[in-house]
Amino acid sequence: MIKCISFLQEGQIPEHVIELLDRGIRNIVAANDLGKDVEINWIVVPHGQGWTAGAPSTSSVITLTAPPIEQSQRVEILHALCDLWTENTGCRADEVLATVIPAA
Amino acid sequence: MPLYLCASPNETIAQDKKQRISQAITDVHCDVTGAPPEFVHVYFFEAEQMRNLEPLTGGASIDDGYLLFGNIRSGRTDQVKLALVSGMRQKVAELLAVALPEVQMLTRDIDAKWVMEGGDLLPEPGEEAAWLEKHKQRIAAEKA
Repeated sequence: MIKCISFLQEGQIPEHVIELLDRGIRNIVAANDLGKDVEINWIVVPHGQGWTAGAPSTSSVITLTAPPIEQSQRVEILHALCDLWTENTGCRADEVLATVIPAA
Repeated sequence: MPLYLCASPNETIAQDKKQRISQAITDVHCDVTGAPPEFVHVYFFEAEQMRNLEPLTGGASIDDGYLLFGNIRSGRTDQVKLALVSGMRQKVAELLAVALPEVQMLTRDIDAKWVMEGGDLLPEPGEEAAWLEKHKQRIAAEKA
C-alpha cells in the first residue's frame, strides 16, 4: 500500500483543485510503478494551526511512501509532485515541501 | 523541513499561544542548527489526529500530555538533537505553564535526498551555505 499524506492550509486550495491533485498523485504513482493501491490522506490544517517561520503558513506538505527506488527516480517523483502543485494551485515552489520516504 | 508536529489533548492549547509556541520552536531550531527560519514548519494537531499521521510519525502517539514530533534532516549529531529536544521541551512547557515531564518529544531523521523544498533537494550536512545561496538566487529569478 502506497501511502500519501498531504497537508493543505485551510482555504488555500479549492475542493475541485484538491480532486485534481488527488488524481495527479495517483497518476505519478502509476507512472512510476510504485504500487497498485494508493491511500491518500488529505489533511486540511485549520487557520491558526499551521506556522512557517513563526508566521501563518502557506505551505503544502506532501509525504509519499515508496518501495525501494533509485535516487534518480525519487528525484523525478519529487519534481513531479512539486510541479503538480505549482502548476495547479497557485502555490510558489517555496510553498511546497515534498518528501518521498521508504515505506516502513 | 524541518517539520515539527505538536500534539495535544483536545483544545488544551489556546489559540493565542500557538504562534508563540511556533516561534519558540523555530527560534530553538535556528539557534541550535544555524538554519534559516523560512524552512521551519510547526503544525498543531489534537492527539487523536496523530493516528492519521503514521507515515510522518512512525506511529508515535500520546495518551496524555503533549507530544512534539520533529522530522529533521539526518546528519545532526546527538549533541545537536539533545539541544533541540531539551530546548524545545523547556520553552513549550514554559509557554503552556505545565511541568516539563508533561511535554514529550521525539525526533526522526529524514535523509536530505528524500526531500524537495522550493524546487531543490535539501542539502547534505555541510553543504547548507552553498545550497542556500543557489536556492535564493533561483527563487529570486523566478519571482522577477
